[in-house]
Amino acid sequence: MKIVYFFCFIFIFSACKKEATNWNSNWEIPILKDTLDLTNYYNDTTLSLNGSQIDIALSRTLLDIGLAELIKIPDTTISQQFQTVFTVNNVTPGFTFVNSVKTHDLDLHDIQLKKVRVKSGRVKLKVYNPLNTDVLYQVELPGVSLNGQSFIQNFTVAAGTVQNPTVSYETIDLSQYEIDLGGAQGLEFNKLQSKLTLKTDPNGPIVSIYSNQLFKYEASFQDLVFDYAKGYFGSAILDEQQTFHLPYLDQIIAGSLDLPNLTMDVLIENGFKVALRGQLSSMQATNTQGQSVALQAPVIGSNFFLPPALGSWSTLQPSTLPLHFDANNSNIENYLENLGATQNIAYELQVNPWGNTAAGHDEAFPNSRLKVKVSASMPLQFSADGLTLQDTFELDIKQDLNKTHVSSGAILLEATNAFPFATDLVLHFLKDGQIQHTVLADAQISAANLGQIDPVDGLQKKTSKLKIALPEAVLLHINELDQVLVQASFSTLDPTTGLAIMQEVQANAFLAFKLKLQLQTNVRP
Amino acid sequence: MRYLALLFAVFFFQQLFFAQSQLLLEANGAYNSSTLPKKIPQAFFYGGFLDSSFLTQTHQALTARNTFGLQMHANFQYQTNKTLSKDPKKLASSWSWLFGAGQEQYSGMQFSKDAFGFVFLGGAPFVGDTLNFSNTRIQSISFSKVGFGVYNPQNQTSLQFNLIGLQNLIDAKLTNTSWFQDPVQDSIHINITGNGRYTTRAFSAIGLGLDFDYRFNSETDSEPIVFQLKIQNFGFAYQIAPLEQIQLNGTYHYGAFDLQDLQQLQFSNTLDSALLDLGLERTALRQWTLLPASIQLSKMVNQDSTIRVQAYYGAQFILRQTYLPLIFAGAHFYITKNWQTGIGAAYGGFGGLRAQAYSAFTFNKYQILVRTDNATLQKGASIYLQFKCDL
Repeated sequence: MKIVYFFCFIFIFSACKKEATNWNSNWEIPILKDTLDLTNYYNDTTLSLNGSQIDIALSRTLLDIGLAELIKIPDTTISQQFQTVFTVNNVTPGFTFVNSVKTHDLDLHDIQLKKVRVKSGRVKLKVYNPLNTDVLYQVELPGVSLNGQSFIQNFTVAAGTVQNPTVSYETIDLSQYEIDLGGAQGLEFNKLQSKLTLKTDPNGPIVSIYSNQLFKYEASFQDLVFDYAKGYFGSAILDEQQTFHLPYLDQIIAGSLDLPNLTMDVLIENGFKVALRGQLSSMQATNTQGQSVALQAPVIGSNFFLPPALGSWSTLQPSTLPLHFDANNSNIENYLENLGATQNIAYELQVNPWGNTAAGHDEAFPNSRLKVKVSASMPLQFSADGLTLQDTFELDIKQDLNKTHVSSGAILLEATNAFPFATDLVLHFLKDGQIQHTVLADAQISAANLGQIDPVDGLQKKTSKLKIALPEAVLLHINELDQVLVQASFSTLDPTTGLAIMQEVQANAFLAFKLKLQLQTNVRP
Repeated sequence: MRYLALLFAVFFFQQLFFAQSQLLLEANGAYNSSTLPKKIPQAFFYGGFLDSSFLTQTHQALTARNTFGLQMHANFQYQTNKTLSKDPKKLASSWSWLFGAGQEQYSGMQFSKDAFGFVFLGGAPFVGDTLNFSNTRIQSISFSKVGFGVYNPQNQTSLQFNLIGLQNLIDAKLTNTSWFQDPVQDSIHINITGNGRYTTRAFSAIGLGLDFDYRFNSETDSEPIVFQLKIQNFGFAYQIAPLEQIQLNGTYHYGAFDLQDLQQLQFSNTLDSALLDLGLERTALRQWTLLPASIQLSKMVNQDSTIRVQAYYGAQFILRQTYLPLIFAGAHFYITKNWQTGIGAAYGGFGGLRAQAYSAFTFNKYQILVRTDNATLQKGASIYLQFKCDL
């Protein structure tokens, strides 16, 4: 009986439990207002206005290297030292006891330099004094000069001992210094001379110099970059394979793009006074579906040669080699229409392909560059058929359904389109990478050719209003959803036939849009 | 339960040692509005869903300025027969001691039609309109009291001093506040000037209050007319723990983002920026608070009279901006010696015109009074219960 009373008690009081006070309120929140156009690409070597149409006037420098990249000098340390054979007693103050020149060989592999000019870099000098009086060190690099003055550095190094010689440091900027690497006679290469002079302190005591006392200096050349070099630059092969990803193309998941006849020119410039061999080994584009297209043309895989540049300094004239790609000599159109997000390029570059035929007279100047330029020109027109881009955005929205929460909503989009393509929008809501809900816009962003010509700006444009409803099911499970995938599908359709046709992009075309969030909120105070 | 046991203990104690003392218990609960249908406050009391069509109709029926209020109290008073003096020559011999305790609650608000629409319908229905929230005010206070005093059994006049303990306090107002959502520019403009103070900490303030019930006669040809001046909860409380005060004075403009800004958006920064523009300031505040004193002057009915119909009337003020002066009047009917009843009308307070009704049942040693100040239950509800017992 007691249990019956208990359940009666529970029933009575549970019946008194009230439903939460709640009501729905409606909100419309402006989120986004912007205009997308191509203004930023006009006259910046990408697009150009040509009357009422836009031309692709693409000009890009793919490779641009100078002497610093061509000849890289490793950090090098040279040293010179002096040690007496026998003890010298009663050395008077101010006595000069060393005055010798030493020649150092620089290890530059097959590069044989006779003369260089330092663009940037430094030398770090380090001298040791084991004598029990101050010693005046004079370090001279006879081949290193600035404005005709040889590099000379004087140190007064305090007294030291054999066990603990006094060490003195000095770091000197070598920018604009010229270095003669021709040795004493000027006929050699990679030779650097140094001269060390030691003198006891003129105001110091009389001392003795013993045979176990080592007088030494070290010069460390660090981070040297040259802007002028003369000699033989070697014949090393620069063999590179590069993979790079093109933005946006990796977001295309379906559809096709048809481009008009396209020509592309590649210009190779050699600003060094050295012969050059090059080879474009392969070019391959792979799209997001994994389909690869290799660029096929006579120049692919073949060597090309460029003679040395002419002139010097301000009169330098680079030698050039133009390469032309069009539908007649290549599959450039297929290559580009494959919309390869992943581009793989392999190439070789080699200076002095026939060895030191210039007898060490290769020369590079500050304005010497090795460049690869690509240029293309055509009207900006294309045919798109369901060309679909998608992107994924993180979603981190939490709401407690027992408190005030959004119960339903919609995304309202108003777009004015002056581009020739129509756009369909789809949103997928994902959980752990799996699609849980899919919502479609109730209309498409219409192409400009369905609209009228605006007499104000002379553009044909069409305004569309569309709504993407966010059903209650999405908002009920919003806590579990972690990503939203947005798909936009572009088509340039003929309004009458419904078939994809080639469409030109109007000059000053734009897409203006306003996005609002329409929310119904269940308020639970 | 402990309080009930204590009450009975007092009852039996006085039965043993005193005579002709009186126990008075009264409780009141009332809510009312000038314009809101009672379905809305009932949804807050009892729960439930308020559908949009009803809220839209309600919104359309609102006036520019609307009020809503809620009052509750429960008081206990024990009037002893122990006089202040046993010397009949002294005035104090006609006064006896009394003790009392109670709980009081007052909530009142004034709001504009736009404020109601914004809260209950949202901003979407008003895109393109300027919503005016000015002169919106919320005042709420609840407190406990315990005290002692004296009363005069002959003329029923009483005076009671109370120690006050504040339970919670809210006082907020918007003086110059508007919201405009521009559908063309896709922007929202908020202009706000307001402040609010609140505490929910029990006994964060203590104070003193006075309850005063003064009866006086006006002689007529037939029989005296008795008037009552009743002042309750006249006093102050001081915050021993500070209130939190929030002040807003500024304007904020929200506009749709461009793509670049949206990609770099950090919601917390946007919120901080908005609050900075709106001039948000938080401070701790100690202050004196005037209690919601009620001052009522009324003509009373003589329940001992056998006249069949008597008139009653009066006026009541509460020292709060959200409470309008209340006037009331009605007729009292003598049915039998044990049952007397009355009907009347009231206007003011938190609402408009409404009907009153009451009945009093008198027995040998006790009386029960049941009254409602909103008999038709149009825009609120009211119940008053009084139990008087001669011990």
